Amino acid sequence: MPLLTVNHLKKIYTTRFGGNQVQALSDVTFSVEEGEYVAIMGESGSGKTTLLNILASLDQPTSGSVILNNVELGSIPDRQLSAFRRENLGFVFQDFNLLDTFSLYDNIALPLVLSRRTPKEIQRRLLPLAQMLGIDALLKKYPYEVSGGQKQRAAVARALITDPQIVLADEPTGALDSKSTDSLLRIFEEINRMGQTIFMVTHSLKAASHANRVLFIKDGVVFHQLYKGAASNEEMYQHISDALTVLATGGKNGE
Amino acid sequence: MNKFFYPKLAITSMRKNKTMYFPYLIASALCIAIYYIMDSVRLMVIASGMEGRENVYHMLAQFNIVSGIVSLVILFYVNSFVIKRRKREFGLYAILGMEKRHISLMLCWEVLLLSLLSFAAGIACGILFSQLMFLLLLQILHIPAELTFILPVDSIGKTVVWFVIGFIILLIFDIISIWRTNAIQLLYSAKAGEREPKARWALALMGLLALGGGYYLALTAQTKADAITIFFPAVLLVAVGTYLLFISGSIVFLKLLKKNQRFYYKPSNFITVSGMLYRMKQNAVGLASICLLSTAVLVTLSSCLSLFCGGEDSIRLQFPREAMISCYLEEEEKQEQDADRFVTALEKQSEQYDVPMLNAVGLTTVNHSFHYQNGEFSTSGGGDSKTVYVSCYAQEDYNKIASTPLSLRPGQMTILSPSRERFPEEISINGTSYRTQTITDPEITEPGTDICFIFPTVDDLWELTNRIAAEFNDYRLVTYQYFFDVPEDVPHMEQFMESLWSHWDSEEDGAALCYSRTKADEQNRFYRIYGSLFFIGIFFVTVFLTATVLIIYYKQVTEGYDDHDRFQIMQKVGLSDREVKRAIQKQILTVFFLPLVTAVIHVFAALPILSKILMSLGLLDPFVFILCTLATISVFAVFYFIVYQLTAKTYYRIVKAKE
Repeated sequence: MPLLTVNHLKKIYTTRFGGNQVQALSDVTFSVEEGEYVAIMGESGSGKTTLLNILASLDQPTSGSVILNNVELGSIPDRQLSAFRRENLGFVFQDFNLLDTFSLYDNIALPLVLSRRTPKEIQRRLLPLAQMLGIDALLKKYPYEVSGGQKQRAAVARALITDPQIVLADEPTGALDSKSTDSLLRIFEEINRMGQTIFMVTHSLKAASHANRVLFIKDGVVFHQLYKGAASNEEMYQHISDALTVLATGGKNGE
Repeated sequence: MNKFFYPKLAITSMRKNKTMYFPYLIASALCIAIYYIMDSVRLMVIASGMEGRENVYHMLAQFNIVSGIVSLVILFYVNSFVIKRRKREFGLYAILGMEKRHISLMLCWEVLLLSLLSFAAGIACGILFSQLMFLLLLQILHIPAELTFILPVDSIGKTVVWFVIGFIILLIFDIISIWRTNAIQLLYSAKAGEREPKARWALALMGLLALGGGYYLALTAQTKADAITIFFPAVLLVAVGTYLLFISGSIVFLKLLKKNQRFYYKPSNFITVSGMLYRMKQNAVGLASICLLSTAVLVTLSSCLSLFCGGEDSIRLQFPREAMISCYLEEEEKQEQDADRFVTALEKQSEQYDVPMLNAVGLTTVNHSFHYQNGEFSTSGGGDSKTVYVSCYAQEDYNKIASTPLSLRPGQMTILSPSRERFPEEISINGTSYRTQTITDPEITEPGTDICFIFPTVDDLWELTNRIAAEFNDYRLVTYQYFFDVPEDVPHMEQFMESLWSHWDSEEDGAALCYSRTKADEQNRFYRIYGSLFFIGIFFVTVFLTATVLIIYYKQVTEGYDDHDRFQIMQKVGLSDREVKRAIQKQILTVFFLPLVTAVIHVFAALPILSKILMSLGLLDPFVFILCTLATISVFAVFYFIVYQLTAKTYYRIVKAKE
């Protein structure tokens, strides 16, 4: 039984005056096993963000279903949705989305505080995590006082602190320089090795080449997928690059 | 280029920013209208030929200067807010290739349009309402005068000149601020990171001391004279204290809350406390200003209202009859005969002018200040004692005008206490003890005195005078007051009363100095002064309220834009809609009701000192003042709440707006 199952997902946006309909997702089906590290690639407008928003239960699909650990997201009542999101999903965003009124410590603690954990428990869970991510010396600082890479590591800590079923990452390296990108990708690999399932949307070949499996999405359908298997990061990089070339130039013939 | 390009751009951008510009327009129109109304009412007062018009004219003129300056300050505040919010937009224009002079040109058009619109609206409203306001003034003043319709071109000119100068200064200010920043700065000006505020204990402590000192002064002022000298230092201390406490005290308090982990790491407190820290840092000055403005509104309105409501009473208490004549009697031995001779002379005079004096009564009074402490009154003394001004009567005289006569026996006396202060049953006056009874709703008061003593016999009164005379170089001041009614429409009443002011020969008539007043004159004078004050008070409150409402509104809008991003993030991280709303509400409520609550506390602390000042202005019954204050506070609170509700709607709309 896979951890995450996505069945025939379809999403149609209607413009405000009901005139034009835009089909963001036509028919997306895939599944993610526990402990997998999946990257999804595609051009702008291919439906990546829509897919992620639906997985994050921030948006509802027009038809189709998303099942996370035997729970269908569509069946969760609105009032419990936030709590469900908090307990089961971890988010890492391109622009970090840290709150500038909180210190890094408080930013990371936010999901636990919302779940009404005691200050002691928060501390017990937070400190080792911060140490692992190398930000334990920065916990008292505020977001505007630290670098982009450090901010993103704090955001990762916030995503991991609830022990989520799955971490959803939306272009996590998009706003980072190459050094910070490398270090973040190493961190992702590391937490994946420790058993954390990761689902990452990305543009970056380098980021995708670290994943176990890469899904390619185009015009609202999953078009192709690549397994890393025993390949090295560099070999994987080459495979993905080839696949993208085919995708961009050959269309359906290239399959 | 199309010559209408800039005006069009100006119109579009004002329309796009209507959340900012609409209140701006209303505020400037209102300020213009108020300025115009005051100026034209002033001219109408002169044109109407009413009695005592100079007084009213000058009072209105002084207020007009103040309101003009306050209006400009309000416009400056609003303008700086609007420009700050639009810096990003200007940055974008700059990136798109507009030079600074083009942006300045667009701003010129905007200010021109805004001022034209607000002049049109303001002066139109002004013309509509000035007549009505003049009617209201006449109503308040109780003075019959011609209702004159004039459309003073002078006032329009003056208003336009004053505000055109204001708008030009605003424009120069805007243009300078555009020229001093570059495009990239403009684009990112709103995004600069905010430092976490530091707890400044010393400042918080100073604020506490200043506020405490102000309160102490206000609460411990003993006499009316003290109250007047202490009032302004106390106001100053409270103002400084309020600013310091809002600025640093609030941060210190929040930091303490944050230190308490059990409290801080609870969902609602977590977001509220950290949010409030930043909010207080940005808004402390604005909130303190709202607090002080609200206090000013409450104090002004309740004082004017209670003077106006209670004044009628205090005049009635000074005049048991329609008219009064009073003179000083000098020689102790002859005082009784002097009084008789004075009355004889008066009667002669009244016959001459054909003014009959009906229901006449004569009262002998001794006015003197006493030191009072723990039931002991003494003419010498000092130390911690407080000074009270006392007028003394004999029972025999008092009973002539009282509806419930007294029957005091030797060793007994009565104290009339219009301020409702109660005195012990056993008191002593210069060493002589009396059993006393305090009457808190007296039928007569002497203007300028705090309480009245009523002695059983005239001899007690003489004894007291002699004692005082022995102490103060043979100085005796005994007043003889003669009250009487006159039939309505006596032709020579005025001349008669005037004639009494002069030509008294102390040998012949028994009196040296004499003055006369009628109840009607006194009422007219009262309404002219306090009516004008009340009228001005209404306008003052309107100006203050405008300022308060605008500050609240623009605060809400700024907060809204700041909070928009923050709450977007929280929702992504797992905060439900309901939790977001609750967290917002908690902060907004605290931020907006903190000034109101503080203002009410200030007003309550000021009650004792204010009621003393009002007493010296002629309001005798402190209950009237307390009632008026409570009424004012309730009305103001309701108004404040409505403003909050309306602005909160705008706030939620901004916070919840999707990207």
